[in-house]
Amino acid sequence: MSKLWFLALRNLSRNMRRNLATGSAIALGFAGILLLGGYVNRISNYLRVYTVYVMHTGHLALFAKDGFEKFQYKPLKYSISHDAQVAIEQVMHDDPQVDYFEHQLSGAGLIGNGRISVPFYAKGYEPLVDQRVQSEPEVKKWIAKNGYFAKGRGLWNYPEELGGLALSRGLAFGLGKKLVHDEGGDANVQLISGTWQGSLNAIDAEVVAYFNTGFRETDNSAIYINYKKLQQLYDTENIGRYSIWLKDDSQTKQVAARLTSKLEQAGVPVEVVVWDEERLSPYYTGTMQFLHSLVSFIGIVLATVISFSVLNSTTMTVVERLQEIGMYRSIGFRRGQVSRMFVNESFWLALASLVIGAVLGYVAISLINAAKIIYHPPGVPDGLQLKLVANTPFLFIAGAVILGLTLLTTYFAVLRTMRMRVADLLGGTRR
Amino acid sequence: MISVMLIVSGLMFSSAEAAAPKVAAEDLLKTSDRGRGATVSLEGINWTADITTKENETTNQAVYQIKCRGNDALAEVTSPPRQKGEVIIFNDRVLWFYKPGLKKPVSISARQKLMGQAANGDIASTQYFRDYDGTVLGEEVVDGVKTYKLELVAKAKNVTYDKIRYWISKSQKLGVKAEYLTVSGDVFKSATFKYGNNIKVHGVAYPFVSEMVIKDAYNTNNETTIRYKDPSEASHPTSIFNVNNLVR
Repeated sequence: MSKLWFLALRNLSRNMRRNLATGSAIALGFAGILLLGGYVNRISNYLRVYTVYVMHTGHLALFAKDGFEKFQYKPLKYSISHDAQVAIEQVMHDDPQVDYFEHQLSGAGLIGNGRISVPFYAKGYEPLVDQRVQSEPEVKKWIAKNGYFAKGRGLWNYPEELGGLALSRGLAFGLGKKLVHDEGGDANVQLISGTWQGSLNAIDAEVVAYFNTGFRETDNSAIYINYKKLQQLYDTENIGRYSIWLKDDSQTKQVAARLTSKLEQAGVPVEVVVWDEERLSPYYTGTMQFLHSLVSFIGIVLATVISFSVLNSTTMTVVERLQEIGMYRSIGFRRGQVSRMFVNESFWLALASLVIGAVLGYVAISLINAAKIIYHPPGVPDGLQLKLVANTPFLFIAGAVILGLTLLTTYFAVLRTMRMRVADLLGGTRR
Repeated sequence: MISVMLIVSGLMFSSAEAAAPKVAAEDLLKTSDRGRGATVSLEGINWTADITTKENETTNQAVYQIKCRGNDALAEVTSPPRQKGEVIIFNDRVLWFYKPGLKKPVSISARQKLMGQAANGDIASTQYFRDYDGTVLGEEVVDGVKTYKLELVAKAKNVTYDKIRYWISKSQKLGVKAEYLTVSGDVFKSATFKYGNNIKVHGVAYPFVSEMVIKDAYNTNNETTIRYKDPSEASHPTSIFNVNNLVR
């Protein structure tokens, strides 16, 4: 048995140029797959962390029953009342998987600077949770940016009475607010809206930071503010939703089901949505679906190229070595043993090529990362560095798939020849 | 021959012009606006607007003290107590909201909801003559009252509505019904008016609006009633309508 492996290894040197060409196809294909895998790994993790942490989606979002769909139209009816908040928070405190949670409230209105007013859409959250979210290890690893404010500091740095808010850059430009609170200029603005009871109300606020949303349609209207200020504006104690972060993010579905069931029993009907559901995170799911289709397509193309390259090379080798195969058969080698020898040859060739491909892939990843190329995908403020992060499990899975594909292709290439009679093989003519 | 044809056709067109309704939309709007607080007195007038809204099974109420002078108006909340002191100033078509404690007044839109179905532009004096181009569409009977039916199209973007269908009584020249339309021409709310008040200006009494009922076209259970009370002539200094005087 070991002699077959040895023979196969020695045979590789017999057609060096052809084997080099086949090996190069495998190595370059594998390196390409590694680069693609590194890109997908980076983007999927970036988007996951951006969605869960930076956008304050949480691993779970808890709404009043039907609140996900209807809160925007009938906030009073589909928000979470003060009594419901007490019950929900008790259940969340008792759940061993819930790490922390955040009250959130969103809404629209007009924001004025004393001269003009323009429409806004505000997302109200808890500044201290924002501070915690931004210091999460995953955020530091994947977002690789010190906060998401283009100017100014996070809301948690200021007393609640100040009414600090962060303006999207387009909105700040529209209001002529060039300076934030720390720069000593006039950072005072007023928010005005109808209360949930139907009367008009306004509050003072102070611009402490700017941010980029990355989308033109939201960059002229988005605001981040303490949810308590929005409660004051809309004259309510209710909130729109909770964002919940878990200790183990693989438990999202189980915890969602558990919270829903416990609160149902407590007479508080709620709707818990997992962060990667399309209705909650359409940008994340849409981008990931696109990436997966792209990777599948490129993967199939690469697999086809590698397979045809191996098939072509093996077929030529077999045709050239018909008499040798006939000789093996005539001295007592069985068909299976001869086939295995060819498969073993491909194994050595593929293994060596995969190792070289892996080295090439890692070198290319390092070079690309060192080049610090910045590109601007939609929805990513200030652009994103083209950074590839190699994924070790993916490396082994892709390697195993290519190896399997190479061996299978070789087996099929030699199958017909092995069925030939010894006399024909020794004659060196394939019919 | 050609000159004869031109003369004949000219005569035909001029006779068609003469057959059109003689009543001018501008005159109707000017007179009907007076019944809703516009340009009754150059020195100013006062009235109280008691607004009750019924929306989604909840009822809310607020009372505004309105002071008008020419194209300016000031509406101040007197009830409920938690809203007391809130002010809306109308400078021509520009509106400002202010409440005690606010560092600066806020510019608001006439179209913005004030309470229930009532927009900010609904509570002070109505200036349809100033804000809309009117066309008389014909005559109709509304609740037994013979009326002219007008179509009003906004002259500017910052007026309360884009388009209005307005019915003005033939006898008193007062608006009795209105339908408010979106840009695409769909009715989104309607209103009816009553004129149980009188206001005396320089000794002459004019009928004055006493009730406006505004209904949501999509859900007729949602309605807002504005009751106009105690209209009287007054003399207001222009300074009370100056938005810069609010924050002092």
